[in-house]
Amino acid sequence: MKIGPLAVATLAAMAAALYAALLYAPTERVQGDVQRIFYIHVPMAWNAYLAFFVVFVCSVVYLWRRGLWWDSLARASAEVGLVFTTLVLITGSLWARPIWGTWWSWDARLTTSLILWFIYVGYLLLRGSVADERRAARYAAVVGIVGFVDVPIIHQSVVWWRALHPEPVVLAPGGPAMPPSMLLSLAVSIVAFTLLYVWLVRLRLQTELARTEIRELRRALAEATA
Amino acid sequence: MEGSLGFLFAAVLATWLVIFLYLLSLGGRLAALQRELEALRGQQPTNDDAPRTKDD
Amino acid sequence: MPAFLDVVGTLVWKDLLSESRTKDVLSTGVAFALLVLVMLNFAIDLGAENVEAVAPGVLWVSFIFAGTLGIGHAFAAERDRGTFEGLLLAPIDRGAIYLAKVATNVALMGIVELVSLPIFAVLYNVSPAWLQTLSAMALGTIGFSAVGTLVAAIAANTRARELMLPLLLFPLEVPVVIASVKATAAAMGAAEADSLPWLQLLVGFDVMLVAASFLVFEYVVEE
Repeated sequence: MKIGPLAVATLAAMAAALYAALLYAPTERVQGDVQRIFYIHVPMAWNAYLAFFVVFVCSVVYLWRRGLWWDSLARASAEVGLVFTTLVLITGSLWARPIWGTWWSWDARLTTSLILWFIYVGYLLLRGSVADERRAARYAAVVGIVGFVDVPIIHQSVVWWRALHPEPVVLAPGGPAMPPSMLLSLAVSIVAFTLLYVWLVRLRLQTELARTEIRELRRALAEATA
Repeated sequence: MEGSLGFLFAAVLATWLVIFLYLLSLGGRLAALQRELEALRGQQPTNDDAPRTKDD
Repeated sequence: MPAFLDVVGTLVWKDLLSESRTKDVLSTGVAFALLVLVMLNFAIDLGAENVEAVAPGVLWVSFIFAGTLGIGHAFAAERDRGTFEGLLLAPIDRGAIYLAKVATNVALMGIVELVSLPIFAVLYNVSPAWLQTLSAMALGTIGFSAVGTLVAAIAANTRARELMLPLLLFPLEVPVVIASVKATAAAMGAAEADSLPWLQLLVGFDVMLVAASFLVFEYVVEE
């Protein structure tokens, strides 16, 4: 693993984001320090959705153009997106416990994130359980498309499911306006986590391409000796 | 909101730890694959620019 | 277009005929659905006070478990007999194959549900509004089969296919399950009219899920 400019920029931005979240941003009056989780939770949630959108686009392009490169990118993005979604669920729970008084609530956004997690766990397990790489790519692309198209439907259905069953816990949206320093901290964090996403996907893509090349070389070697 | 600092600490720690471990495993995987790739290229008979499918 | 529908009809007829010879899906489906109802009765310990809140969910869990087994069997059996390859070699539109599989599964699952429903009503001592309940069952089954057929076609060609099928299918079925359970619950509760919005929602889900699956099905079965 080489330390390139992207790695340096990512590490610097992550350090800045950590500083912004923990020290620079003002303490929220109602929620206190625990609100600072917001600065890591929201950028990761945003990037998780970005990751799954990339999976969707790559899946469409793969079915259309059939370049294995697109499939490798979809796989890389799905894996990184799953890591982010896992962390979104964990950090969300850690925020909810002191604020709502419960680790989990079956609210629309939480439930959708959890279902999303299951969809992409299935996506990655599916890839591992098909031997032929072209077929695996095709199946994964179909799941990558249908899964992503299903997400807004899932979200809406959960919203309506809850709407007819009002919860005692009201999920107040962060407040009408954030002070500029909070907004700046959030912006820095979003940039940092987006860089992190790009870096991780690039690394993961490199492993996938190396694996493809090894497979091709092995095949060529076997043909040469045969 | 006393004691909520623990939750903040746990969230930050979990995030950085998971990302760090993932990065470590990615780096390890990549290094192993690249070693294997070098070894295979060394074995490759005379035609050195044999099938090299980079972008598919 | 009539030719397309003729093909679909022929394929459905073929599948139903082969099912009528073995009755694999119908017999095990009904038995399994009833078994789930009995097991959930022990798991939940229903009383008079919670039956209306819990019974719709119980009913749909049994339908979906039985439906998953049936839909998985449909493709696994074709694969084992090698008949699906033959079907793909025939000059038939892939969309027709997809719609035929969905229709067959809706028919088989529908029969299992129609047999199970009265027994469920007796065992759980509920008397739902029949029209609303049957509508919810019909629409929910269509939505379930729309995605189920697509995923079963994928899972049939994986290792551990009987494990892959529910793993991939259940998360995608969340909207259908929610709307079906809510519509059925309204039909079992006091306000029967409340099931209407959920039934309308189910129609919308069905259209979207059938359309999306129809469009991508050809990529699953190509080669």
